[in-house]
Amino acid sequence: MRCCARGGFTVGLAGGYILHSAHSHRVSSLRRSLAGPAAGAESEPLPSSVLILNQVRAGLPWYAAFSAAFGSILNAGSERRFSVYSENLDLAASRVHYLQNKYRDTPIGVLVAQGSSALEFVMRSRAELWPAVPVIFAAVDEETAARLNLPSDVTGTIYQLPFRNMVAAAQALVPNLKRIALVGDPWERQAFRRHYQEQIPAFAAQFEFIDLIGLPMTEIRKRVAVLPDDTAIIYTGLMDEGAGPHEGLAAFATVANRPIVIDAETSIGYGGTGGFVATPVPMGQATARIALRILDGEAASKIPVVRGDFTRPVFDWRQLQRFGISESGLPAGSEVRFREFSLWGQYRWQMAAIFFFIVLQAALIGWLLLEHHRRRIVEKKLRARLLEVIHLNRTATAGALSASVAHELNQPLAAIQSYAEAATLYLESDPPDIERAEQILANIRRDDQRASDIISHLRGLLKKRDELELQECDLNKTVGDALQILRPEALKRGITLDAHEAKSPLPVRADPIHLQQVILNLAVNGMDAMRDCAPGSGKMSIQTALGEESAVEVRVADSGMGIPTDKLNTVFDAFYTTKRDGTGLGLSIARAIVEIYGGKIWAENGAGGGAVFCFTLPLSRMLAA
Amino acid sequence: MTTLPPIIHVVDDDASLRAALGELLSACGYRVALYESAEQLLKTLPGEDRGCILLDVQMAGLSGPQLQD
Repeated sequence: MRCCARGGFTVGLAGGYILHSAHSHRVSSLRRSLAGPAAGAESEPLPSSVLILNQVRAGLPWYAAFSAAFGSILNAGSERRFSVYSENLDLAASRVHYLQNKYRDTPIGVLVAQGSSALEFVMRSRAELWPAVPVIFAAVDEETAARLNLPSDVTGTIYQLPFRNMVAAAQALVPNLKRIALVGDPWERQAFRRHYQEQIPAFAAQFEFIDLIGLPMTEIRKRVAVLPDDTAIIYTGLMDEGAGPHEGLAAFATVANRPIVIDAETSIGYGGTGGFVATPVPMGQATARIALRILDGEAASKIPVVRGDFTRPVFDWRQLQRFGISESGLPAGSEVRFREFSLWGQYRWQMAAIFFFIVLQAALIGWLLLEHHRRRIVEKKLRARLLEVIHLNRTATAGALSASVAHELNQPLAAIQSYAEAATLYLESDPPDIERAEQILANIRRDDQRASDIISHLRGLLKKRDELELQECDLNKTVGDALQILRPEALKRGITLDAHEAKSPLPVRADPIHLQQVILNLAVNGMDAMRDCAPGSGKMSIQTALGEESAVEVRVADSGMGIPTDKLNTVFDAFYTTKRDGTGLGLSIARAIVEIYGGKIWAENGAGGGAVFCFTLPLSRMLAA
Repeated sequence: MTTLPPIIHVVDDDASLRAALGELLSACGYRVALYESAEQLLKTLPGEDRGCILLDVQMAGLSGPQLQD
């Protein structure tokens, strides 16, 4: 009844359609057949048109695949062009009249009946419709063919679709198979698999059958979801769910808790796990080859029936995964479709390469970090060593200046000595001159302070520094401190020392002792250069000024012989010296110190002869205009 | 009229030492004249009143031994 309710859609499908036929050929063959009706049919070649009668209904993937394979072999295997018509025999009422009317003017060369019921229909109606047209059948099982007692001019392909194949596939999928659930349309409505019903009892002793045949879909969905573990589902087709048996399968496959055995290739991919599936393409091809022989003039009675297997084991990889079924248990020669490669399986090399590069990169980053860390340690050590060298140089400078420092220190000490003796004399006189003595004591305190200042100065110069002690200091004051040490030395050497300090304070950020050391090194170097000058003719000037680009500039000029132009840069290199007793370190250390504080140092020759050593340091803050 | 005590000319470029020496010598009862350089001494030294000259050796300008020469 449901079938009739679908009448509206089957009418449209019942119309014939032509496959694989060039339009012009079809027109010409029709015209020819209209022009010469029937006379002397035996002697003439058969009309170039084939009518395929499909059982059940149109639109099923099986028929489409069969017809396509049939048409392609037919038109590829002959120089003639053939028209292929197709009709579906699901319109129960007035089929014969319908076909009579439709093909009244279209002669048919060969009739192809696909499916047992189609063959039955043809054998029944042949006399009315096409009494002399040879008949080829396809998709008919052995039992049906035998039962119909076919006449000699009927030949075709017999296919094997035994139920034991279904059981074999079920056992491959469920090794401990004990139960088989059957899902499908009622047997009387089955077209292809009616014979299963007769074959099932042979397995009744071996397996327990769970009969879900003919149940409504809602019931099927409930039952297949709770099947026991030792069960497989055998699907025999549900025609009325959607467009065909594949959709019927899809309607319950998602909720099934056991693998589903199927027997049609066209159901693969709709939720069936797999099985020995009948394949429409080889069947269509084999049938087309028989049709060609007949159309080429061979008598149908001379062509034996082709018995083909037309089945092959095909399985759906996704379903195998879903039920955890190993491929090793599948029948020999099984084809596994829809294999999805895991990301790793598909891109193994790419992923390995990426992984390798990530590891490599991580290693590189790690190595760089380690290098960076090492470098920082080394830099720290270098800095400490530099500070040490700077300190050594400073003590050496202090040592070189010690004679003049000692003389400088001796002055207040000698003064104190004289004052003390004078005070004693005043106190011993009669009457003691207390007032005078008190005045002298004040002078002693003043001179003692002076000696103390000289000592603390020297101590500052000798003090060791493990880290840079940055502080804001006035460069003018630093130069003043340096001059206190330099003046006695200049006096000792008979050199006139002039200082020209900038009027404004010159704030820089540095360790003042280091800056004093730079000035001392440059000044002592200049004094050494004037060693050969006539006594009293040596002149040295130390000048501070606000330079360009927020920098302060210090110039130490001497009146020595100057520096050869090509040596102006070399003089700052370590161990470069022109003095017999020089270390070649004074200027290079001066440069190292200036560079620590972000300054520049250079040498030039003065306009009036002699060398000028200059250095700049960045101002620590902008001065108020 | 009592005779004046002998005069000692002190030449030293260091002001405090010069002052201290002057103090000590005057405590001893001498007359003292102080000079900060040899040149100053030469400029102002009176011809007849020589007495004694106390010279610092190391000085800016003309040094002690040079003055002696």
